[in-house]
Amino acid sequence: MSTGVTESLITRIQKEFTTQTWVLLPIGIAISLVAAYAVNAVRVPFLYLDALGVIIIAILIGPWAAAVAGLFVNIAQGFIVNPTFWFYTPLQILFGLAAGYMAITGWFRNIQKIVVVGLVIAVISIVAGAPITVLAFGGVTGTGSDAVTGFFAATGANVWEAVIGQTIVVEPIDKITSAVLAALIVKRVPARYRPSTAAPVFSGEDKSDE
Amino acid sequence: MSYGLIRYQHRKSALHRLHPLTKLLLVGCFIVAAYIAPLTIRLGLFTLLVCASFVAKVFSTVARAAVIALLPLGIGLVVIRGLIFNAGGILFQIGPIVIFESGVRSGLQFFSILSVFVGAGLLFITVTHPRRLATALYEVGIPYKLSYVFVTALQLVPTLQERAVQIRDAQRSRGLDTSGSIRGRIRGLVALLTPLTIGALITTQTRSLALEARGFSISGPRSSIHGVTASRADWATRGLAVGGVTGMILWSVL
Amino acid sequence: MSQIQYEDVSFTYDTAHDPAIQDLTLSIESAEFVGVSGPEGAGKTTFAQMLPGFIPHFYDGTLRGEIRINEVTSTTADIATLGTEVGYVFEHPTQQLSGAAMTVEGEIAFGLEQRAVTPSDMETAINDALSAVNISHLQKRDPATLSGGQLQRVAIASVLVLEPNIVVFDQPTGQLDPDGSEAVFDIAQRLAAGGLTVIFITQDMHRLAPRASRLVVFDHGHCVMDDTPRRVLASEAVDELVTIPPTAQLARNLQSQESLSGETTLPLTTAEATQFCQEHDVISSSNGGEQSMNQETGTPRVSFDSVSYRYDNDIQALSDVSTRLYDGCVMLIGENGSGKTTFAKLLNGLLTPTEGRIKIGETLTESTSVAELAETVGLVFQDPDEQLFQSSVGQEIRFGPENIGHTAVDAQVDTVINLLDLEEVRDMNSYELGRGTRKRVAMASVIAMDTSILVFDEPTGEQDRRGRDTIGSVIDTLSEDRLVICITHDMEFAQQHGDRIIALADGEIIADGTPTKVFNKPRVMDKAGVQRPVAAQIAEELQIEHVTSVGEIERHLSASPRTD
Repeated sequence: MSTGVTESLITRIQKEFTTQTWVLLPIGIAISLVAAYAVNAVRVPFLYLDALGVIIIAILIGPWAAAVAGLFVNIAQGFIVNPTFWFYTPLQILFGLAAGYMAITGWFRNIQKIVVVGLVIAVISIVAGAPITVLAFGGVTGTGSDAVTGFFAATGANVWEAVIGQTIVVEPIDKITSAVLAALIVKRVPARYRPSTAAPVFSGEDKSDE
Repeated sequence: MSYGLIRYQHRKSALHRLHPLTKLLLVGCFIVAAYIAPLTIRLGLFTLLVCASFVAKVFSTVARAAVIALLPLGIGLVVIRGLIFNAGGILFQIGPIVIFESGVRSGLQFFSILSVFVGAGLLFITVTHPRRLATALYEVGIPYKLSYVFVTALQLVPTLQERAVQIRDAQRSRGLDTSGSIRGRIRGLVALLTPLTIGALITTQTRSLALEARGFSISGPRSSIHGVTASRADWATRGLAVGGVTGMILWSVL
Repeated sequence: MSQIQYEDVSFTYDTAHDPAIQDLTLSIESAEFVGVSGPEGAGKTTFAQMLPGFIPHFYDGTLRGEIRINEVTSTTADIATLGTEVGYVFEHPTQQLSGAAMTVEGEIAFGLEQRAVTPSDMETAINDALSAVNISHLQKRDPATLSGGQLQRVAIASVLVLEPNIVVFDQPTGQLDPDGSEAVFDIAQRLAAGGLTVIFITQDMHRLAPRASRLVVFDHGHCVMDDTPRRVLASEAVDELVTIPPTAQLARNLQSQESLSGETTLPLTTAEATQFCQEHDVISSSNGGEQSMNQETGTPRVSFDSVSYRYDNDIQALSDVSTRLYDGCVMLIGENGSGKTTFAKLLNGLLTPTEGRIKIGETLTESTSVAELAETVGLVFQDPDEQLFQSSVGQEIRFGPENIGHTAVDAQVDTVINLLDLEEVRDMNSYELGRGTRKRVAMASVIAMDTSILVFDEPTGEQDRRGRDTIGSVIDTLSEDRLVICITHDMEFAQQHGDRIIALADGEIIADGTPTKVFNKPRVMDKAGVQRPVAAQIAEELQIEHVTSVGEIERHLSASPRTD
């Protein structure tokens, strides 16, 4: 375990929030939003990648910058895609914190651990997201995932069961892929542009691109 | 390629002239009211939004965006809730698929809530200048750098989207095939998103230097070229909004 | 007391082995216009970034020696304080803007807002900055709607508004078209005339030399020449390090080094070069008639039949274009917006014609996918950073051939690496290299696909002398057995390497022929919004016909000047 978790909160936050961070944050946020476009161009089902920018910042800078990124991803999504995103803000903040602390404690060092990071984020998304979807939105998201929810509803589930079922199907796919993609991308960033706070990714092994 | 659903539209209207924080408060109140008010009041609020968008001269923009945002939600609500088993009456049945009446009813109820929610949100976005909102937030204590992040993120999305298209064209010109196996498509995503990210980091270095030189890290107060002032109309509106929502909360509790 | 003083300065970045700057001692006086040039990686940017304090406050490394501005050591002040003394203009217009502004005046106000200047006080400063760069009419515009050249002027204004006494321009025209570049150089000249100290880093000697009072040339971290532009460009010592402008090249070919070493002899502007030549007798005024294009037979590589293209927003980019292209080097010239990029994208299927048809060989582009066409048409865009994403140059070059299913890729990669002078950097990450080298990597990665048609968008942008020469010879080699199309603003390059010039204006072809033929039509060139090569302009003044290159002019002049 690195000193990442034991150093004081203030030191950690000071270390993370340099001018470079403030400049990088809007870009990371915009990448999260644009990733959705890229996914459209490549056409993979159940992939939203809206956590991608947050995870990239989590690896490159750390948990608290990623939390701020998460906060603004959802606010910006509300402005740009659909105001309903504003209610999911707590989720992305938690994604950022989780991915960030896992990054500085070495969970991005190899592919198996990265999958675990993805699962952790997926679990957060399921546990924190399902109640929002059910209580605030009556069980729908307005995306393709509703087809999965509909399937569960048609086969006898109630609202809670249908939504949780949907998130169990969709979230792991989306979040694990997001975590792996984030790692593959960060791995390619050359030393010259890598911030000093960057956590180790695939360290020691020379991963060819998957 | 979309630059997003909707953006700030510059107009001269009473709504545009309101202080950004007033508008923020209004959105908040509308969203709360959407959930706690009974159906009749909700429909009244929706009508209020429609009128307000006419006053702000943004009706067609907001209406178009509202349809795009609400349609999938509406269909999803009616169908999904309708599919959920309920001992009450059946609306209709196609083979093994059963649609229940009470489900459809609750779906429509939710739809009315979301219509007020999304409508208020979209109207807010079209009549609120992001820089003015950032200035207003700064004046009530939100740290300057946070508001910088907010305004810049919004500006950057169309820029990055254009760059993503250019990257896609450049990589396709090297034979990158974006159809094919799942593994191939993931490779395609890496080929698209890596230059985007690295380009972003390069930009970050240059921009950090430029902004540092222009004083981004100076501690101390900031001014803004966009002035924001609250008028009497603002205070009246704020009072009305808060009063209305408080009234609704009390009414639903009692 | 000099305004700027470098004393025994050396700097090594933490991320590098070798020093970027070694033992530099230099002084600059107030209101001087100092030009800086030299090969990529020579230390020019390192030198310049010490003035605003970027080194050592932002970049980690070991600094020795002292830099003083107005007798105060610059390392003691922070970047924000130095920002009011030294303005820095970067290469990329968009990268240096805050991104938070919705209007041009909002962008310029940024620096003042950080210092809590009141809106009423801001007004004068902003207006002054806007008029210093001639963009007062753009005050309320959204920066996202501006061209590269306009944005660069906004960037300059944003820096001027803090009223610095020194302004550094770091290769500010690399991304701009000729008009935009000219505007930036003019602004720099005006600022220096108005009393500011200007330091201007560039590869564009043609525009720099007539304006600067001093030219400093760097190589491998050392200052190797520091003199007036005329003396520097007359010296053989800088031949490998900077691109000698055609005006100076002509004079150097005509006269010996000694006779040119006087202060006023070497011509820099076109007018001076013409005058210089007029001291020689014209021994023949004709080139023996126009060369005509070889009559081509067989299937053309590319056929355009009445091709039109209209974008979704109703912009007509190409109108009724018909042409046949064969092996050799075709230079596509014209203003921004004339349809050149659209033409390129139509070639590999990224766009399909809204009217008309395009055939690559016998294949129609509209019925073939981009991935398939990539086996025949290789396209390299202007910005290499849109493509590069592998961890090493070698792997980057493999990517293209592997995508289109080549085996035995290793041999291809080796050939291309040699061709483009990339052996030294084969295992490095492309982004660790300078922009010019990255452009060569991007070109290499497409050339390795061994396509029979190659399209290069602005291949010589941002290249230093060696890079230009390499790319020039690569294009010559490639055009021997395939079709190479270059979109370019660089008329000298077009004249030197093109077999055929096609000029576009408003989506139509307005000229098509050999360089000699096309460049000797001044009215057509005007309509295309393009400056003719310098040699063509001089030849016209001297009344020598059918000549477009420096070499050709020489042949028409007597070997020694008149002695009257």
